[in-house]
Amino acid sequence: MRFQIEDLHKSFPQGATRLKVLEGLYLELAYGEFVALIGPSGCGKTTLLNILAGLVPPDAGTLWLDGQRVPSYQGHMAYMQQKDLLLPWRMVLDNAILGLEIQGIPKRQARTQARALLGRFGLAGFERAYPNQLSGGMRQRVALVRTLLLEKPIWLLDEPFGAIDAMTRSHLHRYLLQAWQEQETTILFVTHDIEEALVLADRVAVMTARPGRIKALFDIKLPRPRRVTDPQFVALKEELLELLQEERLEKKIYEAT
Amino acid sequence: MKRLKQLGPPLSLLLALFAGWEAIVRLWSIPDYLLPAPTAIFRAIPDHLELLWLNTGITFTAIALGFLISLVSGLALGIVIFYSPTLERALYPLLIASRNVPLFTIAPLLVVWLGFGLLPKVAVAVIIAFFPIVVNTYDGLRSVDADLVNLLRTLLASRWQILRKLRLPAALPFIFSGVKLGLVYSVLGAVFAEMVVGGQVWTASGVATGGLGYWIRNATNFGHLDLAFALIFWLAGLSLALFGLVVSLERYLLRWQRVERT
Repeated sequence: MRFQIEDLHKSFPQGATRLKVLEGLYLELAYGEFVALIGPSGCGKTTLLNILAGLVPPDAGTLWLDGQRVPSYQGHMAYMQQKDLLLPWRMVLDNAILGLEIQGIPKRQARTQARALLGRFGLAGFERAYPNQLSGGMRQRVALVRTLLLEKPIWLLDEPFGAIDAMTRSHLHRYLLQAWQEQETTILFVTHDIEEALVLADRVAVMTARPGRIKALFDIKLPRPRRVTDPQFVALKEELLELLQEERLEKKIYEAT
Repeated sequence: MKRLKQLGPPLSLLLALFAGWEAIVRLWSIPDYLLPAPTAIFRAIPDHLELLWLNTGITFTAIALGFLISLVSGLALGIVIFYSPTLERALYPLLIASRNVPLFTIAPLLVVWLGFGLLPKVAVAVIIAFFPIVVNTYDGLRSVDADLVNLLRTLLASRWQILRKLRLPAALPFIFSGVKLGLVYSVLGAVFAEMVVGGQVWTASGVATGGLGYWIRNATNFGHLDLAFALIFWLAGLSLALFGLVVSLERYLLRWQRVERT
């Protein structure tokens, strides 16, 4: 699904004043596009995702889905966070079907669907395990399966692999890209890791320091699978790094004055 | 097997205490009306089996009713005050404060109001067993990770679904702490009320009823300390058996807490 966010504003009360977190943010994602969003910490990336997921109402702004203006932000997108948020009392299989269960799909049918997907994500044989029996990487894969099973046309991913070691993370990247290509979804992927953004995304959006807006957009035309040692990759990484450092510097000056 | 092994040390200690007790009674020739020896106490149990059985039924009915009423109303009120901020502000401080009030002391008044029989016993049990269940249910519902609630909200879960699929299971460890306390208090309340209520009815076979609590008081007053102790041990056994049932249920429902990392 194609989606646009237009002139999004959000501030939070801070003492007597208000802290502006997002100010006039525009962003457009094409059908089936994978966009990575990077920016200095505290720039409002998570706030943006919370708004899009329908958890926090924006102060102002318009959401368009496939050219249609949408009044409510709730229920259009699947949201996955850095914390796996598995329910510790549910075994893997029942964690995976949580979303389907809430939609009212019969348990047996949901379980059949989940079993197939868990197998494809290397979790066969763990269906009856409890989350605290699994490694961090496996738990995050369960969370990914839970997200995929929702079959939403748009996924919001907030540093989903931020707490995972580098080796496991590259495996998870493969799983994610595979699922994205099969389901033809549109992905907005927040990360603070430039390399991760460049490995995964069609485009990288760079946010300004708070109050957040989109500062620059980069098309990443490199063919997948991408290699971090590719000279083009390295050049892009340096360019992005510079841009981000500039943003951090401006933030410091802004805060100092 | 592991659990049986854990029982070893406390059981050995208990046996040693009984042996010491027995030795003291025999060495100093302490008369039965002051302190009966454990062997005399255990002999008293088969001697009074009919009385024990009959009164166990009576006391158990009061405990079970008191506990079940506390459980159902405690869970319900815990959920209600969780969802009603107004009620929460009014009730929660009182519930917490009531922990420091010896509520069972109103048992004699309840007898005045409710008469002799089952009712005052159940009332005393409920009055003291109800509070820990309410407070723990409320605390448990509140303890849920806000991020998990948000996850369910993004999945468009209704309030009822959030309660059933997230809040209640997450609160279960808290609820069980409250329920276990509630059970102990139900026993305490029912038996204490029996000691206060007194009264006895003669059945056709000539055995008096009134409950275990009544008979503990009665046997003590009349110097039958072997029977009094026998009743106390019997009651302790009953209480432990009930507690064991609740713990088994807890271990089953919270089995996910004990799984080991593979």
